[in-house]
Amino acid sequence: MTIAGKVCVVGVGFSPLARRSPLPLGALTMEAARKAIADAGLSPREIDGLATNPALPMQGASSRDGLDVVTPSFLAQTLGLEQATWWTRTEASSFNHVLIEAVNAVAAGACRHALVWRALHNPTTGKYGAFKERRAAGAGQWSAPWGLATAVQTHALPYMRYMRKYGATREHMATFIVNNRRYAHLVDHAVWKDVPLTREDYLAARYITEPYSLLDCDMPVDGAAAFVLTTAERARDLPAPPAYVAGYAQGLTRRTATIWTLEEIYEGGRELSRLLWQRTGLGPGDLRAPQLYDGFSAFVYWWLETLGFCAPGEAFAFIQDGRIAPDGALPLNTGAGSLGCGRMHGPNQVAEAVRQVQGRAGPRQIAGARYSLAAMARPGAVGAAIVFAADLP
Amino acid sequence: VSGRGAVYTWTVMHEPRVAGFEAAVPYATIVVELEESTAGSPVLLVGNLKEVPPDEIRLGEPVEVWFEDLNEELALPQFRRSAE
Repeated sequence: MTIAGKVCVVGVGFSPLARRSPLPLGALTMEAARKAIADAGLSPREIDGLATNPALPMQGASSRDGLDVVTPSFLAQTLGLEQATWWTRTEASSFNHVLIEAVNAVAAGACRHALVWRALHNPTTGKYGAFKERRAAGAGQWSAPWGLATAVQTHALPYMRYMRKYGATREHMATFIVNNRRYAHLVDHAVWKDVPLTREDYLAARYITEPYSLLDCDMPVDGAAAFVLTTAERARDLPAPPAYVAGYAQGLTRRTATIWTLEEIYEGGRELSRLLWQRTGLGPGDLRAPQLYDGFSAFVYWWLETLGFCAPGEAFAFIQDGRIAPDGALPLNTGAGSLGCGRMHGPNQVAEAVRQVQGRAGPRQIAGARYSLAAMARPGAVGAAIVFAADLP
Repeated sequence: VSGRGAVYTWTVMHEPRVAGFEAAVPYATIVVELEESTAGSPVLLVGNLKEVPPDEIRLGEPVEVWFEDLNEELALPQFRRSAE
């Protein structure tokens, strides 16, 4: 038994993504949801499944419904979702878990039209990602006393090892970052849409924590993204071309330590990749315009390597010489990802993979995109990848 | 454990985001792979390499433990380059 071809995405909607929005998060989410429902050719009354991950952007952020998070109850009330009975919310920050929950629910018949969204606010109080405790307990006691206590630092550790082990430099990464920014100019809701970027700008960017500079990290934003999922059968009656879910694979970290290693990324990523290609009957050569998670830039290298586009330690060289440009052999992250659009933890990747196989990516459309892929979070560990197809398998 | 190992990886923090380290930036936090590690089962410890300028840290360089007294009750294991 397989999920392939049973469920499809038929609607996509975004609010603007801005560093500081004048609108409350609830209003932004209503906008994204209304757009997604309209894109699907449905009315709010037909939505009968709700799924979201109202994970907070940082420790200690407040969680007022409609301002800091947007729960299923909030949207059910404000949008008049009278048929909604199946719902879920997960605490994971990455979007993959909740999206997969909704895929499974639609496939199982638990709901017919599922609305899935991610809403994220940029806290106005406190420093994003700061650690202000005077004591460290639990796993943090093994790292905080040496000044290691924020997500960007723990993510910098495997990238530093990668660079030193394989000889990757910031000049190599500049190719990806600049290519990505060119795509951001073509995405209406992208936070970096109107800001040009040169290689020199990237190389001059200040460090947050080496080897990651400001421009290797996605910008925190206020905003929301929403999707409508339904069955393949129902999609035939709807106006938009469906993006079929061809299959997915998830990872799980089987230990609780705060330090995770480059070797674990490869090990978990290979396992995830093997499962993905086995379930879909596809391989990296079948995909066009893969959308790889880039909340921190080096994730893109590790997804390229573990999904099999190139071998471990080769991605930084693989992306050079025009290969990932729109007219290259592997146009990459045409949706501009998190680095171009803003920190959403996955929806940017999903939206663009869907748009590509729908043939609705506008100026970013890559010819022959029968299959595309959205990879979220990091390979292995908490990550997941979903393959979308333009037609039934 | 022996307290001997090799630099596995590190990061150099430039932002004053971690309590107690606001004045220390930029500073390196290293991860040491202890020599008791076996294939597939690394034994990793976090520390600082205080006397080494961050841009001179090298992957795999041998280090050994020392204990930094923070006060009368608290000492932190730290690392320095091995003597040999």
